[in-house]
Amino acid sequence: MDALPIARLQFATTTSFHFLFVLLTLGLVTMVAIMQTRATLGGKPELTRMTRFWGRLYVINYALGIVTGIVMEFQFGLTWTGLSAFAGDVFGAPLAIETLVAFFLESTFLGLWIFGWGRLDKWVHLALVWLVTLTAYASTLFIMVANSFLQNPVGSHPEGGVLRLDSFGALFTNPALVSSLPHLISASLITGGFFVTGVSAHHFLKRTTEIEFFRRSMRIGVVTSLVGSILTVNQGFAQFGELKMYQPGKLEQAAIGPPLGLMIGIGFLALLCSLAGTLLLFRNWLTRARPLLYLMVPAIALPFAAAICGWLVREIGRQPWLIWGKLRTADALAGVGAGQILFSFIAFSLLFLILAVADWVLLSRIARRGPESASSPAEPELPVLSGV
Amino acid sequence: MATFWWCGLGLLLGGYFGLAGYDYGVGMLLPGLGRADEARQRRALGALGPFFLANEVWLVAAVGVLFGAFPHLEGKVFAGAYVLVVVLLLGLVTFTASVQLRSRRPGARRGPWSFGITAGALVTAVSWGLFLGNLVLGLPVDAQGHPVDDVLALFTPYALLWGLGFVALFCLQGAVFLAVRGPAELTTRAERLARSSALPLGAFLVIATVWGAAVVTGASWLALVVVLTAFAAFATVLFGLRTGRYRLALPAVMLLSATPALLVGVLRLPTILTSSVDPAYALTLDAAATAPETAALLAWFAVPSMVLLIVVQWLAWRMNRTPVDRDSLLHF
Repeated sequence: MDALPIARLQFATTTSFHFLFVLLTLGLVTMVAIMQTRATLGGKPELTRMTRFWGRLYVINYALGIVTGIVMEFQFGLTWTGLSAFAGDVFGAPLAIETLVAFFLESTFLGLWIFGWGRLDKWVHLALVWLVTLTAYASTLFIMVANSFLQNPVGSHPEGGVLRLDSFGALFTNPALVSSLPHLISASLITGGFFVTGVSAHHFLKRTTEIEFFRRSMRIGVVTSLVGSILTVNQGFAQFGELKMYQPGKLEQAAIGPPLGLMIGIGFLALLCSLAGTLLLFRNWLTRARPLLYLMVPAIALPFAAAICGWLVREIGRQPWLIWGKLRTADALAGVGAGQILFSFIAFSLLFLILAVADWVLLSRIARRGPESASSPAEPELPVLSGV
Repeated sequence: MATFWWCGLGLLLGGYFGLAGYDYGVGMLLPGLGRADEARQRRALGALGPFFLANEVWLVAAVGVLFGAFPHLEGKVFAGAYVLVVVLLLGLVTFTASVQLRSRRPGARRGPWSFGITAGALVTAVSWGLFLGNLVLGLPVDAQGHPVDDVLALFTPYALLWGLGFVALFCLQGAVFLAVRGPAELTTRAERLARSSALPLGAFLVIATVWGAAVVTGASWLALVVVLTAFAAFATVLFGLRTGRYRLALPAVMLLSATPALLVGVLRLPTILTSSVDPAYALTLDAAATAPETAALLAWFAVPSMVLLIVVQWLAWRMNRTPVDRDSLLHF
């Protein structure tokens, strides 16, 4: 039994699960922060309830982002030990900074935000949601710096069989990073925007009485999708030129064609839909266009599919290199027995599958329940209060 | 610089065990708090609530520093105990996800999530004990530090003792935490649970020390300091429990939980990793460290954010240190 394909499949599975959750996390937290800002600045009371409702969905989604992320982080040391031995001096820096500066702070601020409802000064509470958002973006930045280094190892030179760091700044001006980072962040905005729009559409289809609540939510969702899709398409095409500089011939590979085509197709579809949706916001035509509402609900899945395709294009195209031109994937594999790697692959995949399904079922049930009315608490039978 | 980061790693890992230990303890004790009493279980989990997310990420930060500052140790230590680390992660993932998702939907069935919390916490505690116990004796790796393909080599009697000892340790920590921050109706029960975990824990501390002293060679004087600290902390916990001073017992038991990881870190300094099967293998602190430039770069980012973090987490504790009552926000 060959350990390499199992180990690769294991990392790909973990990363895919992780990606599905953090993508929505990033888009949704941005919108929650915008809602809370408008609520704090003295908007309609709906805005506070919107912050709570969408924030609750955000927190559920966040849970799986953390746990899949922990496993990913450990897998570098479990399976891909050649990476830290060869490039630890360079690759380790952005990864360590991500955990310390971004993720560590993000979780701490999120805890304060959840437990600060009605307890903290409203401006402090607002600052917390923005700190959560900013640290989430910082996380994306450092992880993409690390990933871009694997695609195009800049700012370093080989010396005595290992890579040495020359310039930390060069990691941030990496051509593999400058367009892919905004591409990814704007893709997360589409994901969040489609999610909020789709859930709101569901409530209009069920003839909700919360008209004002979901009309406002849908408006934010559609506008976010529009901003996101313009930027995503633009930054996606910007990468073609840069790609020729650091990974020539990548897009001609046979395995790249289908995911690349699908991603571009969904990207343009998203742009078209959000453009049409924005125009139909005029006099709230959109919330009354029932045939369109029926399409918006399943469309929640589209950005996720496109994102997985985009990730496949970026990572499959890198093979057989782990660090482009410097370290082969096969050479980075730890000398762990194939049986043990198979065991961990099956165990993690099963666990993630169960947790992901449970999480999505929970997410959809809470999304379908809709917001709580201002007067009745969530669990009247319990003399305790729920947070978000 | 390597010593600086070794201390930094010790701080993060010590912080993780000192804080997250009571999360796992409360998780393991959850069925003992009244299985059918949902309100009580929620208040017990709600006691953890404001600290839970912040506690768990100390581990993520510690592993980040391990990768960034000691890249040549990271691969050896995880790959060398592959199966244990995988099982640890399975437990950790189950526990962390179950706590966060359990109480999200009003009126929903919570049995499977409660099971996930308890089972996940138990697996995590046993795996940490096994892992650290293995590190005391050395990992089953060959002269180059590559893992030998023998899963059973990780389950020595000494490591199994540590596995059981960690269950008692985290249970005590969880019980003392509930005595401080849990709802008033749980204080008596928490105190009883703390007393009943103290006895097996005391036995573990004595046996592990005597047994360890007999088999470990080349221990540094710092190891003695850590062991003495552990016993002093344990004595303080017992004193705090006997006299009802739970707020004294809590920091003491947190310190106690941090000591096993610190012991592993200083045991044979400057050697930080040895092999249980090949005495020729020894990884030193300097050989494990990253280049000095990278280490200095990390410090620029890490020191300010650590200071900010400790301040923010301290404020979070100040805000939420009173016992859970009817007005407390219970998220989990």
